[in-house]
Amino acid sequence: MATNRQLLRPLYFLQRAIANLVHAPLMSLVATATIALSLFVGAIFALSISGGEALLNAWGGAAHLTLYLSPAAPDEAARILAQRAAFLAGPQATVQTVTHDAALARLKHDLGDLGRALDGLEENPLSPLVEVRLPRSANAAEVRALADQFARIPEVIDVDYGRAWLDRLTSLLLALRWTAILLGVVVLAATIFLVSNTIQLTVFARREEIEIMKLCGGTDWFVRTPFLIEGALQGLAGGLIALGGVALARHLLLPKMADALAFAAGMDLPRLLPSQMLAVAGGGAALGLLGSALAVGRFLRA
Amino acid sequence: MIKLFHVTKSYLGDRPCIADLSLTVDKSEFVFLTGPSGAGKTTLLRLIFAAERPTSGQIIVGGRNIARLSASAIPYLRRNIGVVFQDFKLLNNRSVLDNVAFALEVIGERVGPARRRAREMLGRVGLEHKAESPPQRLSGGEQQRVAIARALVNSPAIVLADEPTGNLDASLTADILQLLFDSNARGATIVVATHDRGLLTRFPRRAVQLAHGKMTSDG
Repeated sequence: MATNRQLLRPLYFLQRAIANLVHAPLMSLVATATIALSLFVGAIFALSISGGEALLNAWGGAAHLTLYLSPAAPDEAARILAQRAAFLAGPQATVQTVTHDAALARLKHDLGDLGRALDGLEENPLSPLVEVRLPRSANAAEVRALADQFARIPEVIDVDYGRAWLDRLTSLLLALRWTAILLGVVVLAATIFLVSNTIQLTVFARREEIEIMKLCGGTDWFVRTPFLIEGALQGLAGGLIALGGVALARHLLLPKMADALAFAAGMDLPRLLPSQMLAVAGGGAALGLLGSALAVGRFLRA
Repeated sequence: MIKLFHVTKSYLGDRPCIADLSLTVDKSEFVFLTGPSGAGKTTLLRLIFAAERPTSGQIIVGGRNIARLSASAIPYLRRNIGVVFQDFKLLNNRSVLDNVAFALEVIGERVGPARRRAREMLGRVGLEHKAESPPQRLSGGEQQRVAIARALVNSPAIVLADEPTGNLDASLTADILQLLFDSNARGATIVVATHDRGLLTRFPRRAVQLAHGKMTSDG
């Protein structure tokens, strides 16, 4: 049957789609650029968020918890607290006791030449403390939970783990994630709308050709298929351009950000995984296809 | 081949373009549809190739009831109908040969055989030497011959022509009609809409006259 023969002619439709793209390059560029821009924005946003999460986890993983005892507490109390902390933190954590004297010696060392001023002190004002270093696998939530447990021990007067910074970063990332989802939906809808309208212009420009196709007995699928291929090709091109843009941004911009944030935490720059690259390129093709399907569908119904 | 039973076509708020029209066109018949502008000739042709649906009544074309035809079945009906328009409706970004071959590609013919058949068809209408030209470089008469070649290349059972000679002088009109007579001689059913009563005198055939969407004479 003729229709089946048509469906078995992908090369014919591909040739027609490419010929149509060449005949109307401006419209194709507009659609491609729209898709590229929206995917670029989306990918950069996703990368930023995943980078932030990695940073948060890296920070949490490398976290030091410092448990302060009362300045009057004996060193022995710190040693007992260290044993309890080691039990609570688990076998992968490293726990170290810092006695009164060790704390003072450390402060002197940190102050350098100024440290000599401490020699005049009649008694050591520093608290003994216990330092807990958690494994890298510990995430921010686990660090927070452990800190809360330590804070409930009566001998502990304070727990320092950078709570404010960690909490702020967690809230920021949560807000960013929701913003990204909302923005993603808006950008996606706007992209489909723009692409569909751009393609509709090309459909309209070829209305005579479509009219003749239908007059000669062409099915809706015969009319639709080249437009769908065009849309997918434009979307794929947009996706590849967006990936190029992300790679460029990563080379030019991220190292500067990394100096400020990630490098300090000893982590790599965020990068798109091959599966994510495939998702960007495939997403572009899907966007183009959908925009095209909507545009041609509207035209054929009219 | 074509049967209309009490067909009415009207648009909201307007008087009917076609009003309770019944008509039969037999296989291999040649019929002129005549009448002044606005008589309903074009609407009648559009009803026959299912570009419009009747408001009421039944239209049978090649044994199929158009009123009951699903939208997806219409392309298959049209593959048996060649349509020619006064304004040719040729694609100016394609060559003459491609315009004709396009009608075959649309229905699933491969490009190579389609171009071969299109070239043969252009030979029949005397335009093989213009195959690679763009249509806008051709005269009006030549463009109409290309449009006829496109309508006939698929060997349709029915050919509908809407004012095919409307823009042409008497000599070119005779050439165009001769192509349609030739196709009729090969067995196609031909319906030609024209407002030119002079054609009926020069080429006497069955003439169905319409006025205000109604048949006023048939003979």
